[in-house]
Amino acid sequence: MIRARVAIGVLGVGTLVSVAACSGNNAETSVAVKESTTTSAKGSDPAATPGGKLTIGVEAAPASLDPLSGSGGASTGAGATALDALYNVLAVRDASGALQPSVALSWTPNDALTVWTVKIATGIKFSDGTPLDAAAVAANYTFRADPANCKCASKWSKIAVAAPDPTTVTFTIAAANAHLPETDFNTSLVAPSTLVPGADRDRSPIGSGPFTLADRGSLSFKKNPNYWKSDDNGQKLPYLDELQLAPIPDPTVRIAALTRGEIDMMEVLDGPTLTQAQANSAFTVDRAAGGTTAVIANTTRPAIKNLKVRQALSYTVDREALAQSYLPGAFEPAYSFFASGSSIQISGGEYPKYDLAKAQELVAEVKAEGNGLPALKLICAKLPEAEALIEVAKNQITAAGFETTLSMLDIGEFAAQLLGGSSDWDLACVRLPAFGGDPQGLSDLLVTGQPSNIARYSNPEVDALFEKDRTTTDPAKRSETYQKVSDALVRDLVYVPLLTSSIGTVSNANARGVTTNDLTWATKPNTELLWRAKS
Amino acid sequence: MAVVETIPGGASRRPAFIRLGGRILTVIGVAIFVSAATFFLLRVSRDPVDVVGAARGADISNPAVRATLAAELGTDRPLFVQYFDWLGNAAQGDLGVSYLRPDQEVADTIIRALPVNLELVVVSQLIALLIGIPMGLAAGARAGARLDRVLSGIASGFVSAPGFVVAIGLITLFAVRLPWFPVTASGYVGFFEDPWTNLQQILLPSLALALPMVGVYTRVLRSDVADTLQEDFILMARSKGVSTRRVLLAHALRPSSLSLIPLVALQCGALLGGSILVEQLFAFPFGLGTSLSAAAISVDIPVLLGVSTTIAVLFALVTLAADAVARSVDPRIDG
Repeated sequence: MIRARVAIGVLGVGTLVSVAACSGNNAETSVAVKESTTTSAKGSDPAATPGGKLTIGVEAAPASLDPLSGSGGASTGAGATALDALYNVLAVRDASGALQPSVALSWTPNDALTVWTVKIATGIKFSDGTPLDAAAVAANYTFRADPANCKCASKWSKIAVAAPDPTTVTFTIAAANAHLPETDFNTSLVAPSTLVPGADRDRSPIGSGPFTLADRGSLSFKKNPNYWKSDDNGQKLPYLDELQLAPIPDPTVRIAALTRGEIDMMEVLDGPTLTQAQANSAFTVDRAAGGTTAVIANTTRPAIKNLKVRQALSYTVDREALAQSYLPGAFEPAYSFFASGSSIQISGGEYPKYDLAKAQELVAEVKAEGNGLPALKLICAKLPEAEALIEVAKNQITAAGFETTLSMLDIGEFAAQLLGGSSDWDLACVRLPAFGGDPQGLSDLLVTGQPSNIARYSNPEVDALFEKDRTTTDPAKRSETYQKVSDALVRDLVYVPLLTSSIGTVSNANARGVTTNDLTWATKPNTELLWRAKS
Repeated sequence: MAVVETIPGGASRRPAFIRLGGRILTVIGVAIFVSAATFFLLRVSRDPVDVVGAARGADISNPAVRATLAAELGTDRPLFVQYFDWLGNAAQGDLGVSYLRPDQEVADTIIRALPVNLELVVVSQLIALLIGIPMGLAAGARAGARLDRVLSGIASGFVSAPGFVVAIGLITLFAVRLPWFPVTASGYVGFFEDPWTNLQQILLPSLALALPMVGVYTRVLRSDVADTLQEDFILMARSKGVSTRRVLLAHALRPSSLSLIPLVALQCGALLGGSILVEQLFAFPFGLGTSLSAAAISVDIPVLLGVSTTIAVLFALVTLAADAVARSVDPRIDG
């Protein structure tokens, strides 16, 4: 799963804007021509034994199991796990994060990088018995391109997908894109019979994944007996007979349930709980980057257009104090936009550190320009964590001399303010996902005129850099490109990272084969490879 | 036509059918008042077009998009028309659909959650009364003595302990250290489906809800029992040689429970929608409190309206029942 999101708000509650963000294939030095002839799953465990049931404790039940709901795809780690159980995608990631064939056996671009030809594996069937062939793949992408069917339509309407024969799919795009597989081959493929208006893909999903839905209410999945993949040893997948997601909102109770064996593994979305779990030798902890809490500046506002104001604001932020103001260990200070486990190596590019004297100096300069110091309106989603952190941030901004009003809005109103075209705010707190994925996906956030560019940020240099990046897969060239993007972001100070957090999975001795390759949904295990230890 | 009757002592009361009719009208009035207040307050504070538009990612700054959404939601009509439409449908059991999950009927959400909450209310009240009444009687009977101070101290502890700490403490003790009960009720099964599993799942959460009430009931009953024991009829009973135990259970408890009965009713009503902490900590897959909280965060007006009105009606019904119980305890109470 390669979709990343900008969750507006703090600590990931409410996913409101989606941006494509994908992991890079760093091993490649030329445009990808991937090929595979097998249907085996890489990374399987030779000790794995079939049978049994695993229960995964998750923070909240997925709002929907329909991959076309919301912004098109999962909005939480639990949702991503459910989609992974029910559906297949064209290409998946291996343990190193590199893209590997799945339903797509190979993908080849033309010289202009505007047409990608994808070869599809044969013999795959959906759980209703219908074939997952090229026509089904094309139908999936074409259906999503209609705004009446998916809010994700704007993403797919730029791509023409066709099935010239049962094993070939072509993706035709107007502008060159060397990263199409990384950004667009992660779409859950649903049975064409459910690609009709009114189909209930939430309660009656039909996919080709390792599991089928047994009961929507209890989030129970049972083994798909006709699943088409096997492991490296020829053992049919999935190993498990049953899989269940158990929503347990409180992490302390989730740990207790794991200790007691009521659940076998759990997702953890906060640093302190991970630290607590790591102290218990009975648990296995898999820690990952959890995203960045950031402040974005609305560049349409006169006050914010003044670079000196943005610079002064940046110097007011004491990230160390912010990190200490909430639960110890929950956050780490963030000084780089690409800090959270990016697949692209960036050196330097650090945002200004706390320097109140410099901030006050800049404030004095702004005042001396004769326009007076603007009063700033800071908006944030109304969540306890946000309220704790943003009050501290507001005090820091005020200390530099800015008059600041803070509005804590409920999620719906917050989204309406940011997405609905309202410009009645100067600064907003957001949570950016861990950019372990391909940074090309950030173009939705940073390129002029993109719908997810909520700051209305516009820098022709950045636009050109993203355009240039579409034509190469050379890691060195890409690093150079994104180094420049990072430098521009630090200069412009429109997106200012504040803190990073950790998330992860914790499992007891029962849960085996836990691999979480997804760089966006770091708590999502590869469900087909999960197995239960015999007790 | 006589519409009053005389009861011993000279007071008069209305016939039963008139009292019942009045009570039913009260319940209907409560439903209308609560739903109207909820509806108009929510609608004044938020335009559903903003909520639904944001959820769908629609461009709600575009007047045409807003107009289309308003027509779809029916919010382009006068507020009173919208409210009475809702009320008419609600009277027929149709509470509408969620703004954010159009495939989800509000009535289904309530019907699914209600058994959990009713069971939590009933079991927690039973536990609270089973513990609180003996404690209150014992403390009241020995008012001022060491036993009274110990029991009153325990009661104060129950009242003042934070619910979260109580719940986590119970889980740690009775589900992890002593694995007698499951940690969570995430796999909740109904009582009639599997009574044993259901009781295992429901006991710990009910205990977490009951302990603060034990404290309250103990203190209220203790005070009333202490007063009752000073009454002449108690002194007479004692002078006839009736045992203390019998004095307490047969003579003092009934008149002393008049403060307790409405208090229990109030707690029942409060628990119907106010058990969100326990619902979440014990991971119940559904519950009225959780639904209400989620709807409040997302401003899902139909769900808020349906759930809050349901809770208000149930609250009124519980109060009605409590009044009936109180009248049976003391016929002098006029209804």
